[in-house]
Amino acid sequence: MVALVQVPGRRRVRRGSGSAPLLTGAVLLALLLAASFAAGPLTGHDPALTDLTARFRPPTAEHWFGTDQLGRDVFARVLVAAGTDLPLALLGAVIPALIGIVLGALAGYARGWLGTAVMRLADLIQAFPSYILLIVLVFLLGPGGGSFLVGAAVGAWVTYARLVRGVVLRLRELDYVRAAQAAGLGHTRVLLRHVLPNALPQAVVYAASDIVLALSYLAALSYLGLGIQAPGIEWGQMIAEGQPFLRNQWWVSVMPGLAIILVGVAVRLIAGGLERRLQR
Amino acid sequence: MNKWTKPAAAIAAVALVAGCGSGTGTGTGGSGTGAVKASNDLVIGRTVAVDGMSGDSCYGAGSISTMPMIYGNLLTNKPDGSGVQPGIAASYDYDATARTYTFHLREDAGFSNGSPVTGADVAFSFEQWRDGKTSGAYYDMIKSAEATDAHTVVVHLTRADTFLPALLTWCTSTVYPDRYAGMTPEQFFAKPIGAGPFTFASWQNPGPSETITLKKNPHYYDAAKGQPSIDTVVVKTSADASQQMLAFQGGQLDLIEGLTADEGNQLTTEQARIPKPSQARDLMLNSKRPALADVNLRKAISAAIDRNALASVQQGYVVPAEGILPINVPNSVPPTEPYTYDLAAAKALMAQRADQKPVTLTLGFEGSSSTVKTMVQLIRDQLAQIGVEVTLKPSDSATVYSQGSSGDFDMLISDPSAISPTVFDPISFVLTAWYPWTGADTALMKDKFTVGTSSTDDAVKDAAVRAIQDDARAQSTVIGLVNMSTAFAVADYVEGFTATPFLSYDAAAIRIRIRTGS
Amino acid sequence: MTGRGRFRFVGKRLLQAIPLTLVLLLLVFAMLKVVPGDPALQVAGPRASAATLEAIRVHLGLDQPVWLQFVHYLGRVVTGDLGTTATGSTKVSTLIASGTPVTLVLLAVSTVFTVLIAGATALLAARRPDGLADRLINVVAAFGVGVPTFWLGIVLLAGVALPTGAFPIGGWGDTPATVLRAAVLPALALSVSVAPVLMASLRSGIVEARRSEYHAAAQAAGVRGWTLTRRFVLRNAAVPPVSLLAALTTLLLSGAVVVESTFGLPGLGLSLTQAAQNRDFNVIQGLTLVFSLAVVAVNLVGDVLVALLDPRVEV
Repeated sequence: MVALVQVPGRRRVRRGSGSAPLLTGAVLLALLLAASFAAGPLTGHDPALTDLTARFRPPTAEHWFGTDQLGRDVFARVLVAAGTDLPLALLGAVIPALIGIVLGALAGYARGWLGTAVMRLADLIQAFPSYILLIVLVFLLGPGGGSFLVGAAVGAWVTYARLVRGVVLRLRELDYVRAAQAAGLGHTRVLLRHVLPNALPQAVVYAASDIVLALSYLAALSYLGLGIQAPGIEWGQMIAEGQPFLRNQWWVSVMPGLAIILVGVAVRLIAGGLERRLQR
Repeated sequence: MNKWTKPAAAIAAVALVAGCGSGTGTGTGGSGTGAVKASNDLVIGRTVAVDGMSGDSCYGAGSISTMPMIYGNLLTNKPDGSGVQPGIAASYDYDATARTYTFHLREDAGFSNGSPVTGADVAFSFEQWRDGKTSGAYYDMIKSAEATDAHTVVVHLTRADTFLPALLTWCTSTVYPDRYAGMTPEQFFAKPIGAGPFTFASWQNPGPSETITLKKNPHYYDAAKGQPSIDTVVVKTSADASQQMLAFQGGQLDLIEGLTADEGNQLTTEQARIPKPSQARDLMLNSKRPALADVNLRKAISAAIDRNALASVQQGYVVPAEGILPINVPNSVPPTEPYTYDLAAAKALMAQRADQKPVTLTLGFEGSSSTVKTMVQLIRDQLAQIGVEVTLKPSDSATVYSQGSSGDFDMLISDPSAISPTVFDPISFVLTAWYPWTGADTALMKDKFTVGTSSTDDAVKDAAVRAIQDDARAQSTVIGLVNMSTAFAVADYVEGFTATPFLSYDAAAIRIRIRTGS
Repeated sequence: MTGRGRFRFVGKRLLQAIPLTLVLLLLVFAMLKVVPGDPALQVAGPRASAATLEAIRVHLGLDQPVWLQFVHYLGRVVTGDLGTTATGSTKVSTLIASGTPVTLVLLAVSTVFTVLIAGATALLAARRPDGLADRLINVVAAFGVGVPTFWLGIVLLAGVALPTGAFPIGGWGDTPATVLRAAVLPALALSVSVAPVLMASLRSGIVEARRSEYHAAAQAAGVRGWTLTRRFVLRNAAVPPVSLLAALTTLLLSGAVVVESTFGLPGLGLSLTQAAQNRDFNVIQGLTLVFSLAVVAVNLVGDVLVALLDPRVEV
């Protein structure tokens, strides 16, 4: 969640509208999310229904992704899990972004002790590698989606705060901002009119790639048994459940892994498209 | 010991899940019937670390298997689980009226440092067991032990007891050299000296990822018979059972202890050694909770659980339970009326409840085992059929234990297992832990336990056990789910291995087919 | 930067790290206060008697004022006393001592892989910006960031280690040769997620260096091929990535926690996840301290390195 570094797909290469990749990525995610709500009717199988007579069926027309150790349809489960993973990954990127933007603006404006305090706090947070911070917080709060979100919020706001603070510091020296302030515009309006529009493009691109990181952290936590617990359905947890059968019933753990990669590609498409748009 | 056998230990040592009948079993580990190995080393994989090097601390499956390799026991388990057989003691006499046991030691038993095992060593060991901080309570019937000559030891008891021979096969009954061969206990357990088939060499990285290395003990009592045959034993512990299975299939492990059906169904039938199921898995129902105080609900839950379905997921490793106690253990008899799956009866019982409010219950279990997870998901579905909503509560073994002992649970899963050939071993645990935890009436069980452990007559023991099983059925605070096998994965070039039902096995008898010349 | 200026910068940076370290210690100490339940019970385990609990409370100094408890905690940390594991069988400091070399070797091998992968792909991609290779590499890099490390680890174990037999399937070695062999696959899994980050930075550095005037001048002077790349492109392109070093190491350290669990490597990361699963408080507390102090140290070293290498850093 610490998007402190440049990630591929976020670079100034070709100019272009970016519409095609943006659209492709967005449609992919939207479809996946929509399908997660209708997994049962779409696949014709109840994702939670165990059928001990249909265990470990390989992928067929009936069960596209095969069935697992309890005879549950893996395709239906992969789709339902999207309803857990996507919103959590999204929130895991958006919540820290909002916190970071507010704290960053605060740190940029209030140059006194408040600004210093925010930046020192940022230093402190960055002293913890993200997984370690997450694991420690989950240890303290107990496993689950809520703990994951708290961990993400605590760990990932720093990047945004630094970004927004930088923009504020740069802008406040600019003539038009000074003029606006002299004209009696309040801090809030200056912030909304001038600072945010300048900081937002980059923040949005950060957030897009943070979604991928948030997803892989959530999946890793669940894989380690510290994230989403059964009967909740989550990709990392499905991979862990299918791991014992990797050699003979590979589909149980390979399919959810492919789903994670698919989301990664879709988000990358969106991020790339957005960046081109915002840089035009 | 068996004691709650630390869920982690029991679970690791226990066989579970899957075994989907057909279409599996294509594993290649060890490869072919003519397979050989390059060196005379046995590399063992397991998921449970040892509890330390002293017998007193022995508790989980890791120590249960390792301690006998290093120390040796006065008596050992028969491989088929039907009783005890000679170990360091060639024979023993029990005098019920005098309350004494007399042990006659083999003359060819020797410690790894070369000294012979004498009566003084054994008498010293009895005192250490009785005075042990952790396991001493098991030996509280021992008044004193004295060596009457170099190879005879007389043990005086405070009360009549027929349980001692079984106890002597436990991993807590480790034979030490007299006065720890002149060392402090701390020095001794850092590099222990024992009379078992192997000598302690090193213990690296103690804990969940530890490696223990043992070398052949040339002074072992069966050395003349060419035992042990193996030069070196290396025990590699790792928490990841599926990874161990890959390592086994890749020829990097020769033996896996505590094979579960999840992994075992990937092996050939020759490689997966599955002894008779002898570990019970039970469900505790807390009758101190308002809803569960109604015996009708407890009986309804028992009737609504389809034990055949639970077992079918782990075909070949697990069988449905008939009562609360492990089967295939001497004197284990089923209740007069074994459990039956009867949904209509369960619904009728639900209707007879005094309070007809809908029921929501939590189900606590040890969450790291994939096999337990599969089972609780099935139970949740089955209880939904009678309108009981179940919330799954996975946690680690220590938390499960503390939930049980503090009464902070609705339903809890755990495994009473026998580690010696008597069913009174698991009964003692149910009596001292589960019954009080679930608020059950212990009077009948206490009485029958005393009757059973002071008698030498099998008919008397059987009757006592049946009464205990029937009482458990009537109270339904502890209900049996399944009985599980303690299975092993064994490479094709490993010979002479026999799985016992008690988590341990005779490592001295194991041979490895070695590549010769060419 | 003058020699004295550098010295002063390093000194200043060191001084800055001291309050941060103290606050970290305070935070880690505060974990004991935040963790739900009785801290004495956490230490003693669920089966402790009332008398044992009371003794532990006194032993832990829980009957004393909080600030005094913190001072005592500092004293214990300085003397290396971090308590024992929940089962009481091992000291936390022993656990850390045995896990540290494993994690360090994993980090070292991963760093080598990351630099090799990133360097090679960046050179290839920067050859013709926006060319086929560049675009292909960008897509592959996106996959690299998106693939869950633990999943890649499982696939490497089943798909490479098992069929080839060239690598141990989980676990660590006991000789330098076996240790290195055991580190290869985990380090590979780890680098795949981190290399793209370095690659992106290197690539843009190379592209910019190629566009620069001195590059054109060198070319005009007849410098060609690898010499040109090495002396005039890589050297300049490497400056921004060096400032990334600390961040990359933190990323690797973070990823190591997951990779060690996937491959069963007995390092600090595996201890951490196992402690979290078993709710082993002392171990979590000790490891959190070690990890965060390591990051402080890495950042310190990183900043000092950048200051020494890059004349533009303000003193």
